[in-house]
Amino acid sequence: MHSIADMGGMQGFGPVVRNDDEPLFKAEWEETTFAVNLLLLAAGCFNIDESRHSMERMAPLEYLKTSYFEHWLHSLEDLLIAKGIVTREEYDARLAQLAVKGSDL
Amino acid sequence: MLPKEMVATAIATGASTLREVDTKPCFKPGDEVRTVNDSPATHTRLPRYAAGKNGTIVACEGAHVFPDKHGHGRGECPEHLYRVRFDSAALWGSSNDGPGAVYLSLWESYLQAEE
Amino acid sequence: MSHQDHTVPPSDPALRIKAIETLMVEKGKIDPGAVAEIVDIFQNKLGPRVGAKVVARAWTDPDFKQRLLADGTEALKELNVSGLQGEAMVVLETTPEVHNVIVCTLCSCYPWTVLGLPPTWYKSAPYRSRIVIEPRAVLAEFGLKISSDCEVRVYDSNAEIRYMVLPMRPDATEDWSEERLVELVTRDSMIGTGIPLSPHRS
Repeated sequence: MHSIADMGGMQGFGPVVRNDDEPLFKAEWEETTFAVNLLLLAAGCFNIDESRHSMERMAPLEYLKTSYFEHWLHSLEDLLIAKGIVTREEYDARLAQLAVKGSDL
Repeated sequence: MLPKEMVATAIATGASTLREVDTKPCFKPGDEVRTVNDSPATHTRLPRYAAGKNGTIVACEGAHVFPDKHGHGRGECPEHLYRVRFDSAALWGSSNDGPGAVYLSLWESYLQAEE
Repeated sequence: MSHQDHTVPPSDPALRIKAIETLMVEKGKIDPGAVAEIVDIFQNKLGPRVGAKVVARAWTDPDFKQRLLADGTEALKELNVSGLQGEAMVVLETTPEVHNVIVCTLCSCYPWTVLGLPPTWYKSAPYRSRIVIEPRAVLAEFGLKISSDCEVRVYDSNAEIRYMVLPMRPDATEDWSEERLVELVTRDSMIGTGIPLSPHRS
């Protein structure tokens, strides 16, 4: 699809900003997102092409505002719920539980 | 479920998309091709900038799982994959910034013979 | 109810991935110990040093270099380099006439087996959008000026073929050992947005 992700040749994005000192993962949630994604691919919950298609269907503004690993997180939520591996209710309930626990994360 | 003990092996093995198919490749290195001029709202790995453009086959990469189908749960449907060269002028016209080319890996159904 | 009043907004990524992880463990989709294994491999075992060793070997062993350019996947297996996001490797030789640079405009695919995970700039909209249409301008921002006698080839990694650039060996290193040469090979030189260090600087 001609999504926001299909950005080759788009003009106006400005200079490439580099940070040569950055860590591989900026936060623990990035490490976990990365690993969980690979493990669920290995478990056959979804395939890599479904995963890429999920990311390219993100709302354009969201896609541009969020980071690479946030794109992965979006596709995990999208696919796990779409495929019924987790229900929206289960997911929301777990989010609420964890929010109450707060810094126990 | 991939157990912890199998993680290192799984990463070292990877997940190749190369497959055997019964058909021979339609194209060979040196062939002139034109990419389809299509705008599917579904998953494809033909970037918009390379749709409907003229290029040259540089190499055959074997048959690979086809994302346009696989990404929609329609099975692997492997097709022959080619390395295709697009001259910068062909892609960008006079806006190209110097002698150059873009190379893409394109599945057979993205390509049509030219001349 | 916890006495802690620390609440996180539901959109917090840390909360979201914790919810997914815990649910997937409960449903038997994930071995909880496997997460740390994966992170360890990518933090400590994979990374650009792997690719640098391949480059140094190619610079010092012409037969290996020939095999590497003819079939990257098989030649890399000689050095025990193989696996995820490197199952089909093509090594691109940069010469005075041809400068190679890699990108994935559609999503940020990268040759994990030789370079580890990509830097943020590689995944950014400015790089992904501009390197295919104005490579010389982008390379100039990286401090690399390419002469008009040299063709710039941009490889867009839109399928599962993964690329690595074999940069040119710096001058004045004829008598250098392979181990010493490894130190000159930068990550950017294997992406194509830089060149190896010169011996006078290292």
